[in-house]
Formats: sequence, C-alpha cells, structure tokens
Amino acid sequence: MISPGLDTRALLGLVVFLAVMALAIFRPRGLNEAWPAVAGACALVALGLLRPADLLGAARATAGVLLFLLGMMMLSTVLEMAGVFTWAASYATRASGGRCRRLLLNVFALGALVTALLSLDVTVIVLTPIVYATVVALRIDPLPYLYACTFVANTGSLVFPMSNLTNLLVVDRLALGFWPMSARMVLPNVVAVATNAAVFLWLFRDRLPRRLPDPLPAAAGGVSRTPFFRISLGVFGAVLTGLFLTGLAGWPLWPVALAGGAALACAAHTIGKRDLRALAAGVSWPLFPFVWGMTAVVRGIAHAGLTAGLGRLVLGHAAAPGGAVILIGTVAAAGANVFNNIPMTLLMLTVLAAAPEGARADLAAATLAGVNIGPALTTVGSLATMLWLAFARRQGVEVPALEYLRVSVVTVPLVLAAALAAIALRATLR
Amino acid sequence: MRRILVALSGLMLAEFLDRALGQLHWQDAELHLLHVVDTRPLAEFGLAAGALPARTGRAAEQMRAMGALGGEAGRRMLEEAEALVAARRAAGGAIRRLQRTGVPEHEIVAAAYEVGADLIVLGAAEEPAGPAPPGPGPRARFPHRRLTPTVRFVVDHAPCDVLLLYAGPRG
Repeated sequence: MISPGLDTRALLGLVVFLAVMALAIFRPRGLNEAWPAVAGACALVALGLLRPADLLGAARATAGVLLFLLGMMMLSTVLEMAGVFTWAASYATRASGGRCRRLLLNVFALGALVTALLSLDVTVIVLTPIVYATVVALRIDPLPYLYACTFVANTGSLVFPMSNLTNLLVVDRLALGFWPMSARMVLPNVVAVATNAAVFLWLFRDRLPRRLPDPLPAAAGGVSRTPFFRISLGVFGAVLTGLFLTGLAGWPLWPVALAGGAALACAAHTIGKRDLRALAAGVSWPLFPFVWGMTAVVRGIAHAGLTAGLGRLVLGHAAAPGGAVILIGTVAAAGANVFNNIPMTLLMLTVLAAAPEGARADLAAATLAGVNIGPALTTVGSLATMLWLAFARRQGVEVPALEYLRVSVVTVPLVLAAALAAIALRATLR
Repeated sequence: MRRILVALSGLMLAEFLDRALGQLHWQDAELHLLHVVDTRPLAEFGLAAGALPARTGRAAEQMRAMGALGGEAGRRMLEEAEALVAARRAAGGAIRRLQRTGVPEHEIVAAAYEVGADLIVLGAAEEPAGPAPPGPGPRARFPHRRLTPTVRFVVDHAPCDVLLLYAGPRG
C-alpha cells in the first residue's frame, strides 16, 4: 500500500494519523476525540503536509454538513423533550396486539423509521433507553428488544443523508444528490433491516414468549398530548417535507434543518417552557471540531500520497462492477471496525474520488453499506469494544464477551451480505 | 432449616408464586426471592452508544439511568412478590429478598450456592405449549415447549433440585 519512495515527511504523516486514531479510540482520561483530531490537523500543518489554507478548505467542505447536523440535533432534542419518542414507543407496544414477536418487529420498524428520518444517534441514545423502559415496565426480557434497537440503528441507516453522518459526508462530497442516492439506497436499506429482523426472530426465538402480560401495565399506555407535543410533531413534519422538496430541487439541505431546529427551539422555550441550556446540552458539540479535524487530517495524509496507495489497492482488484461492490463494502466494514466509521468514511472518500465516474455511485453505496452496517460487529472484539467492556465493568456491569459473539457474528455478515448483494445486483443489471 | 430460592422473572408473577407455594409443603422453609437485573442490555446499549463519536458523556449518563430503572423495577417486583407470599403463607419460615446484577442464569446459580439452597424454583415457558413440530418421528407426537436459555442453563448447572413451573393450566 505504501510506495517504496515514501519519504520521511509522509511517514511522519502516517504516524500522526495513527496517533490521532489511537487517541480517539483509547480516549485516555476520558479525553474527547475532538482534541486529537484538531491536534493532528495542527501537527500536519507543522510538518508541512497541510497548508493553513487546507484547514480553511476543510472547514468550508464540512460547513454545510455540520450546520445540517446542528439543526437536526436541535430538532431531535426538542422531539425528545416533547415526549414524541415515548409516544411512538407506547404506540408500538399497543399496536403489537399483545404479541411479543410482533412487538419485536414493531421495535425494528420504529427504530428504522427514527434512524432514517433523524439519525442513528437518536435511535441509540434516545430511543433505546425509552424502549428499555417500556419493556421493563412490561416485565418481559429486555434483551431482544434492546439488541433490535442498537442493531437497526446501524442496519437501517443507509437510506437518507440524515440517517447517518457517513451518508451526509459521502453524498455532500461526491455531489451524488439527495434523491438519486436515496433512491439507490432504499432497496439495500429495506433488505438490510428485513434480514436483521429475520435473523433476530430466529436468534431470539427462545427468549420471546408468545404473549405479553394481559392487561398491559399502565406504563405502556398513552402519553398526554400537550400543545407542545402537537406543535413539535407538526414542525417536524414540515421540516421533513421541506427537506425532501429541497433535496428534489437540488438545493442545500442545511438551511431547512437549521430553520426547523431553531423554530422548535423557540417552541420549546416559549410553549414548552423548557430551559435553553437543556436544549444546548442535547447537541453534541465536540462532533463539530472532530469532523473538521478528521477531514483536515485525512487531507494531510492524502497530500502525503498515502491514500493513493489504498485507492490503487482497492480499485485495482475490482474488475467487474459486482465484485467491486462486494470488495469495497467489505474493506469499508473492516476499516470501520478497526478505526471508527467517520475516519474510515473520510479515507474511503479519497479512494472513491479516484474511481471511474460511471462506477462511483455504486461504489459509494457499497462503502456506505460497509461503514454503516459494519460497526455493529464491533461488539465482538475491536479495541473500542474492549475499552467499553472495561468501562462497563467499572460501572458494575459485568458482561462475558462471548455473549456478544453469538449475536453480532451471526447477524452482521448476513445483513452486510444481503445489502451488498442488493447493491451489486443493481450495479450488474444496469 | 431448608432454603428455597425463588427466581422471579416478572411474567405472570402472582400466578407463578401461587403455583410455587401450592406445590411446596415445607412450612418451615426459608424463602429467598431473587431478582436479577440483566446487565447484557445495559452493556449492549453502552457499546452501541459509546461507539458514537462525541457521545460518551450522554451514553454513560443514559446507561446509569437505565441501570437505576432496571434495579427499581426489580425492587418493586420483589416487594410485590413478598407481599403475595406473606399473604399466602400465614405461618412458616422467613422471607428474604435478594437482588443481583449480571447475567440472570449465572446469578441464579451463584445465588443458589451462596444461600445454600435446597431447591430452586423458576418459571419456564409460556402457555399453552405450542403445536407439535411438523414431520414424522416421536417429536411430532407431543406439543412443544421452548425453554429459555436462562432456564436451560440453570437446569444444567444447579447445585440442588430444580422445580420448573410451566405457566398456564395443567393438563
């Protein structure tokens, strides 16, 4: 991958990149991953691999994505405050008709919907605890439902740009267009979620009793629909419509998301009587310097010629379109497990930029399937997982690693294969 | 004094306890009611949320809240169970409440060793038994029940006798 003529500067660039990745994964003393990303960008400037103008360029390249993200994070925080997710979870419970398998499928459907329309972060951070509270109140085994939430957040995040930050970065940078890319990803997304649900119904067959307790406890009942709730849901609907129309027109999405977020923030403050500081706490601020810093770092190592080698290696082995899709998807999934999915997406972007024009969209789709579905496997044995298990142990949560192996090792390869097959089929038929 | 460990899962609690007490004629026995907060869902959440960039703080906060919620739900279940048992058992030995965290099947067996249980009581499968599996052979002659992995583990590893109660009417 590294050419023989590699000079000292390029080697130092590689060292910086690996150091940034290591610090971002290990997070010594709870260090936020934004710091190593920003420090890495500065180090590359000092090494001469980046010009100060590149830092500005990275900011300009990511500004639209980050503003969009800010708007969507404000939006989802207000929806959470208004009780929209709790309402949706209780609806999913009632709609299950007291059948546990149906409830599992409803959790999949709800998770897929929240992931597609808001983002995988919202599904994991907000919806999963609500689903946990719901099933604990029902006094049924929470394990299958919780796994459903955390897995569908990954497997269901292929479809829209807002579903996953990786999609947003790829669609934005390669100028693939909101609708063309979403249309391309609908089938793989549906196939991935359906495969995931089918695997879980089988995997957890002995943990799903046939019926829920009758009658359902009060906790699973309705949620009071305050004016704040109605307005939040209404504005969310308007923002979604606005996003789809803006996407259709090919305009930038961030003004719609930001305006919607701001409108809901006002509604939360005036009608919902919520503290604006609580709203600001719902936004994950370090993500902005992290994405900007990582973009700059990847630019730096691209300047050093390190990513060109990766590009040649991956694209050189990709003769037939179907084969290229499978290869790219697998490489992306493996990389997303070793590193993190954001840095891996940025790395793959430099590879995709070198791909032939005609095949680029298919390969981008394969990359996204890999970096989005792949991380669900990290529950097996990646560094980040080991650290999390250690953290959990300190919190008094002891978990044998083999327990995870049983779920993710069976599920992730099957779901990834199904999604890549759907993409490859389209690439071959065209 | 004999010690009985009753593992509560929450599903059909009153019926389960009623059936358990109906079959036990050891009036002097000490009853240990056990609830286990399953940590696997919490850890799975922690892994998924902790892997998201710049979300570690919120993930840890949510994980603690979920742990507290699971513990609280278990405590309520134990209180409810104790009241049900106390009402049913006018005289007899002591009733103790135990709560543990971990993988339920491991914790049930560990608790059995710890209290020196002579009997473990646990509920298994929902009613009614499902249809007989299709096809020829002896398996197809009888209705079919699925035991949860928790029950299977306890049956395999228990240090004492196990009383397995199938929910629903017997027949």
